Amino acid sequence: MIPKAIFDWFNSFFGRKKLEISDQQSIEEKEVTQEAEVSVSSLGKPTLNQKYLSRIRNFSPLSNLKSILQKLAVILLIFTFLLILFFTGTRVFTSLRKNSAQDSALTPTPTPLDYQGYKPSIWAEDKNILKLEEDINILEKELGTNIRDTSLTPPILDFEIKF
Amino acid sequence: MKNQKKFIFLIFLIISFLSIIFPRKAYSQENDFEKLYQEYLTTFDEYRKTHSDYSFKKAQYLRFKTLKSQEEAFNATLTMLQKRDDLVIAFSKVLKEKLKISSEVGVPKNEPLNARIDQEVGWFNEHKEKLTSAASLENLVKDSNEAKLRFAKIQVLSYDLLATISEAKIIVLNKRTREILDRVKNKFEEIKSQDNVEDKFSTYKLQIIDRWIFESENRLIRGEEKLINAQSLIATFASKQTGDNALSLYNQSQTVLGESQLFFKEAISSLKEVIREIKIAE
Repeated sequence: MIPKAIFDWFNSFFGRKKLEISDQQSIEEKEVTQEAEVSVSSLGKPTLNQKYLSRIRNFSPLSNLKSILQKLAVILLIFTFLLILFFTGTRVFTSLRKNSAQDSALTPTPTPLDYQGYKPSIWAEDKNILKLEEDINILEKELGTNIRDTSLTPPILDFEIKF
Repeated sequence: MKNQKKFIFLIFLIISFLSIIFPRKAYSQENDFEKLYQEYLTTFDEYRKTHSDYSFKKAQYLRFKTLKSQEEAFNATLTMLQKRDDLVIAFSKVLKEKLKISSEVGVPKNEPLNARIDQEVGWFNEHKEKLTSAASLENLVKDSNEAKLRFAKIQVLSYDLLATISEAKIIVLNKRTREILDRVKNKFEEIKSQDNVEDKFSTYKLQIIDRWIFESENRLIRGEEKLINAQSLIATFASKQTGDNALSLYNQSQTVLGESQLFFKEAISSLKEVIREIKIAE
């Protein structure tokens, strides 16, 4: 029930389905048209032409408001969508410009020192050498730790009890 | 297919069961230490509170000298002394647990230290019970002085224990450094005996590597000498009677152990250079 009502309300913005107005509203509209016909005829004036009658019959303040609201909602949605598109576009554009600027900044410049490439020996991939290297690195880290424990020094207590 | 799935599920169950059971042991050891340490801190807070109450009641008694103030001072002192004994017992338990989780300390050093801790805990438990039989403030003062002398032993014991743990760590690091040095030397011999002329290192490169190994060995030997010095210092803990002396000896031993550690670190750095030289072609 509830999801259906939401769905119908949403669809009403796109004019897919008209909202069903309550019986009370339709009765009120009928009464208005009837009253209009009666009041006009009682004055003795010439009868209202068909055009006015049809306008009165079709007139409903609620449906007018509804159509305005629908149009407003559609315009708002379109505007929001365009806004999002605009901001995304500007962001993408600026980031592209930055990347190209960075790329231009990262172009290599000549350095005074000659870079000597690391040429591995036949032992570079030797598993014993790699294992040794790993063990050395682990031990080096452990040798960097502090062996002194400062959390377990004896508590300072008051032993000077005198009266 | 169904049987296969059941089998895989069974294997998964067994593995997860085992993975829950086995790590629990290591976690529970650390957990026990943390728990005891928290208890020690809580007892310390309680001691502080009872001590401030004792100070207040003592001041009142010394000022008014009434029977009531005397009684209150007596009760406050008794509570404080009992809490002090609790604190010493809690601290001893923490020391014992610390020794237990320090796997580097071997059994020959572990057992005497544990025995001493148990002895002190036993003494303070008895002392705490003895306090309840005190009849006057003078009795409490006398009991407190007994605890003071005994606490000096706890201080010496604690510094001895901490120094032993540090020493054990350095001994393990020394062994590992020595083992790595031996492996590097063996590998270097293998490289030197390389038959292929194209892959063989030049004499110059071999000399560089040799010098690094020599440097590393020198550093290691110096580190081991420092370790021996530290060990001889730690062995004199038994002769220390007071906490202040024990603290100064502890500081000395830590300094020497730190120097030893530094030498081992330099030895490892030299070995790192050896590996780097071996990995780079000429």
